Amino acid sequence: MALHKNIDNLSDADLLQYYYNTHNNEYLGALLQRYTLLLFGTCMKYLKNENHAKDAVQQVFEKVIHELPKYKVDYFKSWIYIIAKNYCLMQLRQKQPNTLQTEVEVEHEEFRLQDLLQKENLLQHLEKAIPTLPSEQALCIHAFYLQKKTYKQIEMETGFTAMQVKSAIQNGKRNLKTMLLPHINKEA
Amino acid sequence: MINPNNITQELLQDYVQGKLSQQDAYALEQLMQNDAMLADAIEGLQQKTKQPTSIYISEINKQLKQQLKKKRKKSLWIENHNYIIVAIILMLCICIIGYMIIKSS
Repeated sequence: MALHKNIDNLSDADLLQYYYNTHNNEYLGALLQRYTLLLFGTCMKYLKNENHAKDAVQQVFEKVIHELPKYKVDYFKSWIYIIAKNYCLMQLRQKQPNTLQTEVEVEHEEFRLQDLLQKENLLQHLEKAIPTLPSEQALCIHAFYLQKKTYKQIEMETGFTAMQVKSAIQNGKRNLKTMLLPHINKEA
Repeated sequence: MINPNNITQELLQDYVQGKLSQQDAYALEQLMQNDAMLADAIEGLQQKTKQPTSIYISEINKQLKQQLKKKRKKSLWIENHNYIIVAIILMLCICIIGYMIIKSS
């Protein structure tokens, strides 16, 4: 079967579908190359070494090439992200079996402050809750979500490092979740 | 304006190198709040590497082409040798049937 003319313009879902229908590796190659940088960055975050990250991405690709034909994958991005993250965590566990922090597992919670902000009645609770956060968290959450400032702007205004800003937003979100959960459950 | 369904590798590299406009940088940071892979990747890409990231990416992509070729060759071999496998099975069946006929007579 001839290759689709505009392979670069196809969505991930379409590329995946063409791959499942034709088993043509050109589609799989195009799809995987879209994720090379995202995967390399993800592996760099966990492994903190460019050569290890490069090897990890190659291993992830190897796994995908062998596993993808066996399953019907609907959400490719989530699927490949889980494969990469699990691979990196496995590498870390092998290197330091007793010291792996659980931090990485709780870091990204499915708490969407964005959605919350759109709910009028929760705004009042949110306004009250933000000032009760530790000061650096309140400052960063306020600047990012309410004043719509970039990380860079917040860094410059507060003197915090990039890591401190990210971590303050992350921890602030987690604390706000704890504080607002009773109100969210009431709304539901 | 950033299209959330089309976050290109160039866009990520521009963000990491501080080349994006404030509006686009903020839009990307908002996406990062709900996209764990994007947030992880950007954090990882902000770490220093010995060579530019683009070199590692092109090496990985080159290797990917080899990995895909290898897989294609393997599956082609199976496709091309299907008839041999069928012939062997047929011959085995004939031998077994022949042996049973000879034994029963």
